[in-house]
Amino acid sequence: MTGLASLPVFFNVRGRRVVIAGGSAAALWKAELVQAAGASVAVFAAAPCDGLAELERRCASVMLVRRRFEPGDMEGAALALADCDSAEEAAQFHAAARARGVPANVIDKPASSDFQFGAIVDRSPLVIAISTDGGSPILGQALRGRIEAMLPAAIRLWAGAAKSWRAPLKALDLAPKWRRRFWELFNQRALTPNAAPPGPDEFKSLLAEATAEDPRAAQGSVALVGAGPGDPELLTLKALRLLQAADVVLYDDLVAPEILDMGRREATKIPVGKRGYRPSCKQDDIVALMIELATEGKRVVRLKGGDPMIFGRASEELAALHAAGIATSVAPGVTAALGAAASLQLSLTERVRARRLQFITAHAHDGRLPEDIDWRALADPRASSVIYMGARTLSSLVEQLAAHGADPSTPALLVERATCPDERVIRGTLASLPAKAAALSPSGPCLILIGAVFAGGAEAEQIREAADIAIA
Amino acid sequence: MKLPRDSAHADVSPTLFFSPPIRSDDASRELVSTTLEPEGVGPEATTPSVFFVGAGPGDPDLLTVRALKLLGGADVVLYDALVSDDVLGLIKRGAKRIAVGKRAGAPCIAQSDINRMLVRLARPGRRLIRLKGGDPLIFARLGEEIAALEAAGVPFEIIPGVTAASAAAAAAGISLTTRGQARRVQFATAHARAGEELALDWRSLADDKATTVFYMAREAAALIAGRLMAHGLGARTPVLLMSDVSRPTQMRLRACLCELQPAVDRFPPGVPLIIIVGDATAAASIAAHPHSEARAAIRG
Repeated sequence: MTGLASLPVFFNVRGRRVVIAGGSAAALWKAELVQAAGASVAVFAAAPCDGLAELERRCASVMLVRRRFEPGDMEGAALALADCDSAEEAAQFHAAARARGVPANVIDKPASSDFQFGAIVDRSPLVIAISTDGGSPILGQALRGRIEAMLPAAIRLWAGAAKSWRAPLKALDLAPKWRRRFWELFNQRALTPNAAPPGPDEFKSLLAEATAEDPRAAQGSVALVGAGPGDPELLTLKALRLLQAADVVLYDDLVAPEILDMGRREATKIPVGKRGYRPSCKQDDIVALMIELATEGKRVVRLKGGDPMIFGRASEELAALHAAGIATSVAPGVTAALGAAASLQLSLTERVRARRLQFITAHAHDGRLPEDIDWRALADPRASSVIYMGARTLSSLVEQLAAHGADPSTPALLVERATCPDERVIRGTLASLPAKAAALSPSGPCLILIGAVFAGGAEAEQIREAADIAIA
Repeated sequence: MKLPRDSAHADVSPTLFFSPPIRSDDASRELVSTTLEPEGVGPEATTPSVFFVGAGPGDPDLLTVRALKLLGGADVVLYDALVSDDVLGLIKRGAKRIAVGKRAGAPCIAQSDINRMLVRLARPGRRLIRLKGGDPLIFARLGEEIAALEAAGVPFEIIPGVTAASAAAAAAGISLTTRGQARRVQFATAHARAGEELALDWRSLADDKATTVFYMAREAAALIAGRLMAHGLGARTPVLLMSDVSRPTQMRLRACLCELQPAVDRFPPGVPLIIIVGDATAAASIAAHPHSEARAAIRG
């Protein structure tokens, strides 16, 4: 790890003296915060706001001193906070705190502060704090909103229960795998969308479930998981969950690193890249590896670009896993064609021009265009066609389509790295696309979209081309 | 005999951090509604104000991360009849929800009215979500709604979703494509306008080297089977039928092409049905499944 902007720590101020200089509403908010964390708070202000007086009345641990703050007030304090009007005043306060070895924070004056308060999600004992290193407090607030939305209501109670169960669980001296299973089951119950609070027998029931011999768990499992078209946000919640519970992740070349990073940090990640024309693991070796790992008791995620059931060779893998008696499951994903069409803002089907939608792969096991394709079906002017892995064989594909009656002026697009930040679209017609694609030599995963519904893009391109000519 | 319920969708729930927002009463929801920054929404005219969002087949676990975030920050949501209650439960509390349900046979809002409604409700800074069952790019009449927005100069964004065919294939453990057997997968809708003949390219659909998925095919099942066989597809071609894909009420049935209509009749009336035709649906993994008993019942 390098370049950490600041060191996040959770500071225990229970029973310790914290001094605050200033009587503003901002000072009041800080007083409430440190008071809530159990500190003994002394606020120094010649003219405190009403809220501070009210806080002193309400909380025995808050003392309001109605005079200006003096440097000597910091003696023995764990933290010193201030709301200063000027930069000079802030600098003086900071220097005084430094001289006494007291960490200081001046509200909205990062230059005169040793530490910052982040945006806080409070589900005590669960506390989440977010810092943008002063870059964008608004971003911090927005992230806080997201996290608030993600956390089930009962999480506070579950976090409390975890704290109280830690010691009794340790006293039981369980085998590490059972202890891990206990906390996994705990997470599962605590983080379900409508989690109920932990019941009186929850500890016992978790313990019983965790230590019960589960033959399926002992045997391990394989989940074929769709990683979607590329954008990590197009992963399904189910895929995300499986990734976060995996022991081993076997992934294709097509899967973005950002998606792999969403997996459990301790998981072993093994590339089994199967991208055309590159040396890669043989299919048999991948299957053998999955069986071996699952037999060892590992939870294996086989992460595939797009949807595993569309050009993912899932049937071969599932058949072999079933034959070996391995427990399997499949998490569907957003297939690449849908991602590309969404980026292009073009519907794949339409009542008149595209009553039928079809996908083929233009890459047979020998890297050439497959021969047993129903070319007439592909050349149908009333269908939309999406060709997976079609960049290399594009010219032969176009020749075949032309030979089977396709109109050379049919709109055709090539989308490289659909939905990724570096997505590239090459627009043309059946006649013009091969040359255009060859000139731009795409290197990422490509889809080719052919059909009348893609005309919007083609027409726009023609207009752009006309404009280019006019400029030239 | 009743069809077996399929609980395959609920089999995995390991450690979950990214839990969807809670639906129960929670004080923090109010806070969230004010602090949750909408995705890329601002007052500028170029930022989208309408989001076409794929709701997936029904199980909220099959929503994309992006869809979940957008629902959590929505101001107005226009949704179809096929969107599940579980997914609707993830919409921000206080957001205005408008059902524009289009379900075969039931009275509904005309497509042109939906188009007009989108244009009328869209405005900068308002997060207007057009929520569609499955994926918005497949048989969702997205083109017409996009055209209306484009004509009115309203910027929009499309968030793809898991289409029912993918979820059905995952639940049944069958791959929609296989080397050699099914090099092509094709999708068609067999829901014609009243009194209209289904204008489909039957010769292409009857390819025994393809997997063919029919959406909304319930009414036309007999016609589909007849036409496919007339165009050369074998009467014993395996077919997989699934209703309420990924939901707790999910049901599935295997049949062969010549038994398609009686198989359809075994599903309760009104449930959305997907029909998958082709050798790929006969994969071993499904034959090993206990639900294959239903198939024996039909054939016997």
